[in-house]
Amino acid sequence: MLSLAKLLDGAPPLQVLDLGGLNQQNLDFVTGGGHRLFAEDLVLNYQTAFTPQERLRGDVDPEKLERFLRDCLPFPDAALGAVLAWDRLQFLFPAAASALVDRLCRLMAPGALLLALFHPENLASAAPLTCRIFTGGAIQAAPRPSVLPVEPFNARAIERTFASFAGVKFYMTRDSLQEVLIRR
Amino acid sequence: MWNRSRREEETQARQAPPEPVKEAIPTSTYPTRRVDEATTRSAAVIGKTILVKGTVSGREDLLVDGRLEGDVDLPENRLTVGQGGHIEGKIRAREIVIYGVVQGNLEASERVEIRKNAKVIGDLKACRPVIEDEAYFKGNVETIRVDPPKPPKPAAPPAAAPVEPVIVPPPPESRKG
Repeated sequence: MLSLAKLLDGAPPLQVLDLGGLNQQNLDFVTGGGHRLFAEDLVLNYQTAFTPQERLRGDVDPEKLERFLRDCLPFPDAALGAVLAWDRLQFLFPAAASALVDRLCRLMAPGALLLALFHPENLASAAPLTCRIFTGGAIQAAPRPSVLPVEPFNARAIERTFASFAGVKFYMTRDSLQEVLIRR
Repeated sequence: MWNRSRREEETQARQAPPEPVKEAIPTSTYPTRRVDEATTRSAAVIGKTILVKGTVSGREDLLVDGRLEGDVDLPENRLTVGQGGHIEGKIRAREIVIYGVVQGNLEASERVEIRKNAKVIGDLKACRPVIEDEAYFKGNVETIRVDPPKPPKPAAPPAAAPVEPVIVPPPPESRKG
């Protein structure tokens, strides 16, 4: 997170995407540095876009998937300077997560950073986290009330998912979450 | 007899010890939602069953509790979208407070507040955007920066007159006696 904070600190105005929805702390952190923040609640949008059966089966009409991606990520190519994905990728079925990462790779500018968190791989379900960034880049993560199934990701799976990016760095947080910083 | 008892009551009341003076309890002066409701009471209202299609503009505060399909332009005033309010269109106002649903871009010269359970889809530009937990927002947020007025520069000192060279006379030769 410190790398991301450094990227945002003093940089020319960037377009930042927060896939965890909007909260006051992230808004203050990002816009306080003169950047633009686009907020999207990815899990909520995903639950609206796909039926429970589609989410369970994990294969959907490609057009429907494309509509979902366009709705979540309405940006031109190379427009994003940073992406706060938090733990949201784990709540999508694998084909949707993979398509989303590919689209993000296209929409992120070279050198842009993506921050993702992964729950321990032995968990079958988890509550999406509300993550708040405080001054200096410290993150406070609190679970939401609803628990949802999660796709397991180990280190190899994470590397494979972000193979088209320039670099992947792993950090372990105190909550046994894996923090991953990905550079485009 | 009746008169007598009444007199007695009066004298008792006179003699009753005064109530002890209660200490003033300090209260917060922080504005609460009650204040918000009080201020909207004096505003123009689009009621719950009203549907308006078209642009709304004016110079007074407005509370929308019904449905408004069109832009709102209140550059010097406050717009409140009540819990039952629904606006589809661009909003420009001095202050915008949302409890209901808005689909459209928001621009406020001062603050925008998106309250709990409100739903906003659109871009937001404000000096002070405030979002409560459990509010839904989708779109871009940009903060308008208002630079504090610069203090007037102190008047420049008058240009110094060219200094003429001062000729210092050589010290008188000391005579050794």
